[in-house]
Amino acid sequence: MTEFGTTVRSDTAFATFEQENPEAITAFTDLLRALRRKRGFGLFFVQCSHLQGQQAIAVIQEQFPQKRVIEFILTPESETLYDTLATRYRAEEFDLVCITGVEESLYKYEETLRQAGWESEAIFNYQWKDTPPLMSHLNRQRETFAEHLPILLVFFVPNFVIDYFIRRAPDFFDWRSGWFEFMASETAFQASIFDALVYYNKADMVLTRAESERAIVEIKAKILQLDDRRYREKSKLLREQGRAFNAIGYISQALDCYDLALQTDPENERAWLSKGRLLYDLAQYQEALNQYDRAVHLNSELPEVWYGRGLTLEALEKYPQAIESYRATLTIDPRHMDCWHRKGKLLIKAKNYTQAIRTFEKALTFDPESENFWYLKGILHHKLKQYEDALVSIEKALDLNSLHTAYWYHYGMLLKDLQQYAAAIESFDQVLAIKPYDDQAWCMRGIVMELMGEHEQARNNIQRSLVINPRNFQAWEALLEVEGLETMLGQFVSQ
Amino acid sequence: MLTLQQMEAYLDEMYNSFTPTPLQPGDARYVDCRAVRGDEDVVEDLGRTVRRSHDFTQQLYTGYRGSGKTTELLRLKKDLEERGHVVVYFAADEEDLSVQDAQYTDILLACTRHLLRELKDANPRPIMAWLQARWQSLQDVMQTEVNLEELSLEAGLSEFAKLTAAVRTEPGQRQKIRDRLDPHTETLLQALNTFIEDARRGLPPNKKVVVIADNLDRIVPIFRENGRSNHEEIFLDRAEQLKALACHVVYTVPISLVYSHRATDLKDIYGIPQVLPSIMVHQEQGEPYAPGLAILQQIIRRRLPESLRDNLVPGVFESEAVLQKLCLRSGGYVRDLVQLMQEAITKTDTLPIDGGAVQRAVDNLRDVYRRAVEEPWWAVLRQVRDAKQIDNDNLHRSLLFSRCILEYRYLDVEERKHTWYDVHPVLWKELA
Repeated sequence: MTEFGTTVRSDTAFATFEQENPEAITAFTDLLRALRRKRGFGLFFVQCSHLQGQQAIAVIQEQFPQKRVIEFILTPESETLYDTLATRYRAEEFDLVCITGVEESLYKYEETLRQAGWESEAIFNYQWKDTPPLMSHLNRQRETFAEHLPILLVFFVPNFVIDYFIRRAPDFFDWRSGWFEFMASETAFQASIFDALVYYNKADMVLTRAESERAIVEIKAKILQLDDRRYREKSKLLREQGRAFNAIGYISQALDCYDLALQTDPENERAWLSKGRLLYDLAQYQEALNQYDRAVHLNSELPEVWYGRGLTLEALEKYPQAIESYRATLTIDPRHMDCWHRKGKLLIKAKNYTQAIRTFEKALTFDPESENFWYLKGILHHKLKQYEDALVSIEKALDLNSLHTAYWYHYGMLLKDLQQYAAAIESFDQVLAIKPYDDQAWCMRGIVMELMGEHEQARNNIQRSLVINPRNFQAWEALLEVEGLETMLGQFVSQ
Repeated sequence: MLTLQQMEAYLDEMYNSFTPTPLQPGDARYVDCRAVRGDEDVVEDLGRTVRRSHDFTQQLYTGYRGSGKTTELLRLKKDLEERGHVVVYFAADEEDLSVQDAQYTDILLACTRHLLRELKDANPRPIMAWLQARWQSLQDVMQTEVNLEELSLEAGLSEFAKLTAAVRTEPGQRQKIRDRLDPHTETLLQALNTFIEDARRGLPPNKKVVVIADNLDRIVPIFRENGRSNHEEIFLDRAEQLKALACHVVYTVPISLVYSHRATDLKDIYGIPQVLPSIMVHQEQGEPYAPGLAILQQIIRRRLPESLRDNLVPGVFESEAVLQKLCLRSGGYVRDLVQLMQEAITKTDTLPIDGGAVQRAVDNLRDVYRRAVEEPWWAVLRQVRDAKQIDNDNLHRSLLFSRCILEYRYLDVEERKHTWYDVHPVLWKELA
């Protein structure tokens, strides 16, 4: 980097920039060269990420110590730039201004349109019809800028803002002294889409409303410039846009996007998948199933397609077919724990306990820490009177989580059947320590007390259960056992 | 041999010389391009019409953004002024109108304001009186105190400035103000004409008042529900009024309008519009066109430091091929030529500029055009590339407006004018 006259030390802002953005260094050196040469009014555009922008500004301040460099940040409310900038220029007389935040005002613009009653159709419409106030201002005022601000203006903006400049402030952009891509448009775009939409595949991560809206705006800008030869990419983007709409509750726009995606590329299996998923959410199961079938037909290797299809079949009460879909999911993605769970539950529903146990055991080979599977396996063993296995399983579940009352309760039930009454009582006490108003635990405790010959305790416990829940019929039954019919009738009447 | 310092000084000078802003008349960098623009000379053609006509003339003038319109109009102004005419030139979008949503009324207000400002010797009373009569009904919309006690020119000017500023900057007020003024545009025209006539009385008999309204071409086309555009509303529906000024007027119009299905109407109303085409660098069949390339080289040469002017190759460019490539890729469109030079210099540390720098400059420019193209346009661009002709529809108009299609003109051996079209050369690669 000798061209700046000095050897750059490794701890400079430039070195940081170079280290972190090796792909951008040529463009950045071009920018620095242009800034160094330009005299008078100069308009520069830099397509970069926010972080790159901040790093670049630091370098500019470092490289031009003789110039007064400021950062000027636009806000969502900024509809003009000239007046505020000129006022500040008169006060501070800087030589170079780095302008950031243009995108904020554009997000705001699309949002305002929506609030102003624009049908989201208009926003969703893939044409450039209207112009954001800031763009219109810049385009109109370019002569004023050139005449009154004999300084360097550098706009640091994300990829899609450049599209806005090219299409919506073309005269302003025409007067540029240069524009520089720190990130190739394609990469920048992929990155922004990736950032914006990666959430969807991770179940717990949800985009904020603002993030989704940004994604919609950015994707739209990109879709607008895709040629029909790149229909696959366009279709993918439409699907992503649909998901962003879906995330903020614009269901019909989301559906429109999916339909358009499929019209553009009927072989976009993920669009079929997304549409299926949305129809599932809308409880249109038969339609959803059709979408999943199309997706499976196109690509039978996507676990999420098989899984969604399974859920849909389950909702349609086609259990054997649902189990088949779950099985297919798990062949591709054996770590799909939700799917193991669903599959096991369906086998239980079909009273196919042995198969269910095998399913949970298989799941546990992939995640031995899954307490719920140990627990379910335990219950099933218990049901099949395989007491040893049942004990081992439920104890394992309790090892992993000793605060789950259901585990303790079933442990108690199991011990009761094994006639280990004292231990069973302890288990129920564990439940009651966590949930003192668990009527069923009180009821079972009473029953076990009766089995132990503790008549008073038994009556006391069962009555407690009935105080908490007078509709606990097992408790009434137990009371009948304990009290005999006569006392029982008396109490029943008084209740 | 140049030292590194000298080289850097040259590159600095060059970088600051290749700027995309219009040239002022008399700038040494101006190059006469009429021979390669199908013999169009705006000063000559528009100017001659103004000078010779006994009636008031209203002429339309158009060309691509950045093709040199303003440069040519400023030359026209200078030429007419040197002949003793009074010229009121204004670039309408600076202070007068919102290019996004401009209507006829706004243009009339802008004309009035500039005439008031420039024709200092005329008596402004008729316009002041009109303004005073209107002000009552505008007061609530304008929300400013009006001071028309004394009918001075300054007072009138400042009130007009307030009006145009409100129309320009306050979308909420805009329509209200127009609604109040629309019924009175006829009377404003009358007042304005009285004012102009007063100005003309002060002039020698054969000297004329000429208004040049530049930048009206920058009004962004907005298509209404019924498919009509705001351009049609302004330049066709209001033609009566645009033509009613008691002086000569040159209006710039959006190039897309000139090629619309309303072109015939436009011609009937205003005569044949003057279009500034691009400089022909290719022939219709695709071979490079030497005279056009020579002119572009001259444009480059004029902007170079003097000692480099006669040493384009190998002093400035490493080879003829590199220079030719840069010229060809500009499509003969001057602003892009300047942009390409600017970019290539940005990417250059030591002279001469090499092929790599030019290639990167071309890629940079291509990216801008590629991003301006909307998806359905690509198919159309392919057709234009083959046919070298365009249809008169909204799509082609948009393409002309965005300069993805360029117009060329030449005189054939029988001195007949031929017009043809091509896709901007930087996009050719994308069409393959």
